[in-house]
Amino acid sequence: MTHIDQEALVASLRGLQMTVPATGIVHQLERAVEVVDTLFGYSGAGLMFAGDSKELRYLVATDDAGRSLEGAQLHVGRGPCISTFESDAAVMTTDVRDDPRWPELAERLHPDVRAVAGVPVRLGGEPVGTLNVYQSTPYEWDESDIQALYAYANVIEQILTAAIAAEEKSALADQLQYALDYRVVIERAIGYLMGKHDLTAAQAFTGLRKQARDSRRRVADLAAEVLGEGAGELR
Amino acid sequence: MTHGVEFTHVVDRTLNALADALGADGAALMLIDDHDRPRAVGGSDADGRRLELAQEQAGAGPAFESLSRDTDIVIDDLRAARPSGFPGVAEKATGVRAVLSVPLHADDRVIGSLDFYDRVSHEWQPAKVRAGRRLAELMVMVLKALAHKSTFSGQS
Repeated sequence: MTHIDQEALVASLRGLQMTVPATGIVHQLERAVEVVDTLFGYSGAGLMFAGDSKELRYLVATDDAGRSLEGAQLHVGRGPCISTFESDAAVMTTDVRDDPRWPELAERLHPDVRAVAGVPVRLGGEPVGTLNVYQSTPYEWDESDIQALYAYANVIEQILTAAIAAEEKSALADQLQYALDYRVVIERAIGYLMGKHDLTAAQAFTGLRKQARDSRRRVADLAAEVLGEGAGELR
Repeated sequence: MTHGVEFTHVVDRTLNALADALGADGAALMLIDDHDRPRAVGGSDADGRRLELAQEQAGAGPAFESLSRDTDIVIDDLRAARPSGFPGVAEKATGVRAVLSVPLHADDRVIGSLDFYDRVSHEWQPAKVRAGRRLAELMVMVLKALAHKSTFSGQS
């Protein structure tokens, strides 16, 4: 039983529908991770999803250091985020560079990634991804850290559930898979823009995303276009 | 399961998760409906629902202040005399003492107010107020996702 007035909620959503332009699920999840990152005040945060290939890949990462967690774990085949997903439980390490569970990870990780904690993100009771945070110095995670991470993972689950309630589940899965598939193109375009305009990765991505939004195109489509133009300039 | 019923569960679970994230006893929601009226949508528990209904009936309270002034409203003890508290609301929401009310924004518009509450009176720390403000963004994301592409028939 809930304590929500269905009629009042629907009347309010109807009002909201009239004025609020739609934003895609991936954009919403990016914003959600940004909020989590700001609230925690840790060095970085990210959200990994298991796509069609069942490999755990970043959908959202707040920085390059955190992103190295994905590549290192994909290469080695294990690590704290993969363990979180497979065990469907919180996994934490005080210093991943010195953790006997994953001795091969250290050399593949960005040096700023030290303490790592992850909790599963579930949908319908099943894990579909992980919410991860990291610290750039060794850190003893306590129970309150993990409880808060679970609470945020629960909010992310509700964002996904809300999106599914409002859209076809298959359309939502397509959006997530698209983001996973085309992320490589986006990252290459970011690298190109960084070099061409002397930008940071964050500046390049923000500019790319804004331009895509302004021109009502997908970020990946614009990224492909940017790379095409870049190749043209080189010829 | 109809959209409306499913949506109530999503909002219920979100309010519970947001309360957990802030470390508050509960969270409750007041939203502007399609006729521009503030509506008591509900809470993470019965006390939250009573808090919103009491405010809707009184036409006053921290959520109303937050909505009309578009700013955070911090109430250390709802039972305190005005202007520190809202004793009229407190009479009907006896399980609630400390309230933090933050406005909800969708783009540039205030669409409602999110109340966090505790069952004992206390001072709200600035860090908790800032966190409440950020958590309100997550509430808006859920509401926008629910509103997106959905069809709601009938009028209220």
